[in-house]
Amino acid sequence: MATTINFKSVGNVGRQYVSDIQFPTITPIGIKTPLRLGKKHGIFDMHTNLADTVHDNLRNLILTNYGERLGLYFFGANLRPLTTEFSVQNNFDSEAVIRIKTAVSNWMPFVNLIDYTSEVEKFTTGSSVALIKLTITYAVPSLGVNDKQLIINLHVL
Amino acid sequence: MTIKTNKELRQRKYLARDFDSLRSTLLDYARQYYPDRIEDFSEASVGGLFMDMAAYIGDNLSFYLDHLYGELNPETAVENASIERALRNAGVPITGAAPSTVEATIYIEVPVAVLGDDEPDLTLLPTIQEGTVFISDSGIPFTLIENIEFSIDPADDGIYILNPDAEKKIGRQKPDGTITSYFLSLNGLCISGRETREITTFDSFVPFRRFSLSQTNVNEIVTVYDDLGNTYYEVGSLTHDVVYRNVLNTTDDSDQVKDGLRIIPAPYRFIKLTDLATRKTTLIFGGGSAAALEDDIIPDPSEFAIRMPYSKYIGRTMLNPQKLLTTTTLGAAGENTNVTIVYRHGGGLSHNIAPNSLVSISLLNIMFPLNPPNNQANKVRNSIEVSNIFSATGGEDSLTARELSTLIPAIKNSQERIVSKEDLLARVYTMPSNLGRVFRAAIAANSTNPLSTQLFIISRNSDQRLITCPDTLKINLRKYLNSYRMISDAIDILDARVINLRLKFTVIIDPTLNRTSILATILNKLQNKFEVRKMYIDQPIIISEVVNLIYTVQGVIAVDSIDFSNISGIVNNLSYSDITYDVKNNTKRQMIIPPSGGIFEIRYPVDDIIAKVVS
Repeated sequence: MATTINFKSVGNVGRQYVSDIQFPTITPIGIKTPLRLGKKHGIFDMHTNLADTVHDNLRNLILTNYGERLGLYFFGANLRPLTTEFSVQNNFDSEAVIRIKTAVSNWMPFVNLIDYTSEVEKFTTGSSVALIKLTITYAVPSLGVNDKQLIINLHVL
Repeated sequence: MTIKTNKELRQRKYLARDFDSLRSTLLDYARQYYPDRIEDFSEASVGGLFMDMAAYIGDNLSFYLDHLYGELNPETAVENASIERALRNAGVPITGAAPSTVEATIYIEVPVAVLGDDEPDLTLLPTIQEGTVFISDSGIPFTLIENIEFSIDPADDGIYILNPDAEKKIGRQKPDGTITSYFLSLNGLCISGRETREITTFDSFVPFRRFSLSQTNVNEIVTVYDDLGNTYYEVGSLTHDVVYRNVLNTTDDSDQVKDGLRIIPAPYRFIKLTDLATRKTTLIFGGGSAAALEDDIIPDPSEFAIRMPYSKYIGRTMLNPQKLLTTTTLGAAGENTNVTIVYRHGGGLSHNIAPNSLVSISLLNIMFPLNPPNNQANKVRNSIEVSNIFSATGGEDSLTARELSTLIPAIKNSQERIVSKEDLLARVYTMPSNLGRVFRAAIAANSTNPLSTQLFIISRNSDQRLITCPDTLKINLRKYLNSYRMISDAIDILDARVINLRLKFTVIIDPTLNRTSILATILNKLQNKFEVRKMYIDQPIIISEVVNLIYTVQGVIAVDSIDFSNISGIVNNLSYSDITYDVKNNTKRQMIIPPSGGIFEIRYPVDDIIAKVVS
């Protein structure tokens, strides 16, 4: 017996509609980190605000160490070597400030660094590991961002 | 018809090759086509990170593309494997360090048979046999490669005489002056390096079995044989199923041609490969089983057909390659036997030893043809000393990969077959000299057979005069050329026609100068011009050149006449070619043209260049 199927009951393959995805009018600027699947702007979740993008980039810059970035060996503030010398190095803060300032001036020169604060957030007795909270205050004049704070947590020895 | 498409045409640039240009191109592309998806490609951003990764991968691909492309060309290749492949493809042999050769002088002291004799005792004259090893003061071994015979049997009748080449000096004398012994010396050619023997076991049959020799810088595979009595021959390619062997020429023309060429089948054969990096040599034996050799020398093509009982059709070629490989087509290799390989290795610049550096004997192969008593033979044996008057030459360090690759263009031009006239001439001239030496060769088209080429050859005798090539030489040449000849080509080997000429000329010389001296200068120049080594087959004589040559001598005022004439047969007890030639009728535009395959010779320049001086 012949089977009759009405085309009205046939669905569409999803890929036919890829080009029909309606993007919001807000232009995505940069990829948010940590990477996560996007809901509005394609594969990745995206920043739609320049100030947030700069903030994210600055955090990544400061947390990156030499040799970690493919093709750009000297990209990053290279703070990791300092984290193992916290207990023996008296000038930890001044060295960290120099490294952060050097990295920012090299890779994000449009950011003005204002303040740097560090405090021991947590120190476990019996363990040599401490958690340091670095608070960096910066401004991006071209974006009208003033006195924005970036908090970086570092585990040090 | 125009096809409409909604597909967006996107421009891509393919000129970017390195990291910066690729990143820049990718950035342009992203900004042009994805401005609504992402904007931040700064170094600090994740987008920049992805961009860098893509550019980095592109840069890597470009690098390896360049690298691989460079490896295809031996001039730009840097990897040993690529250079080695290019060398093999071009046929450049990869060799190790080259050995040196030296002429060793062997000294022996031989007592006289009877006191007062002026000859050494002939029964005590030994033969130092090839294989004897001498050691230099720097420890380099030199192996004798020919027998040194202090006595010879010229008539082969058992009567020995002192080798006339031996240098004889008075040895020991009694106080009254009676000679008790003589010092004799003879020279023999030695080659540096060591000879090594390795034995390997061939158990079950393995096609194209490989065996790597333990020593580096192998110069020569001396011999390879197995316990079953089979000799394995070295061939250029396993498809070569014959080799050539020199055999002593015992015919009448043995003074002209030392050896004859014999073609011998080489069912058991191997090729030699040398690794460029390690300079170790590997022998690759044939791909066929020796078991199939007896009854399957020529493969039966019908056995190769793949049976197709259910098909009514056949393809163009139905060959089972595996079947082909188990025949002896690519040579055979033994099985269940021990194979012995004897080879020579070693060399280098350090082997070019200075004079008088050969100081000791490491291995002495000696025999006394006339079997003297042991005690006397031992005396002679113990007296043997060696030295070298001249330094050793020929030793070279291994060519580097780069040096070897520079040989590729030259080797590529040479080839193992005769295609052009130049190929044929090159083959004729490069035939090993012990098979006979062709002095001049020329090629002419055969007017009756377009596929045939006429090869004219001529030799020289010990007096440097042209002679017809000996028959043995022609036979050797035929066998030698046949292996390089294309199957459809024919080569007619013919004797070049020697046309002997006599030159008479008259000159007017300045009467104020010495006529004799000027004439001697003219004759000297002409004799020099007509030296046989300057003559070629089919080469005309340009009369004006000869006249001009005479004019160049200071004091010559005019050349009154010049006349070339043919001379043949025996004239004034001088033997000339039998060929007669009409010089006058073959002189055109002041050029004497030889017949096809002819060569001019002024055989006896002193007698055949006749000058006359007039005032």
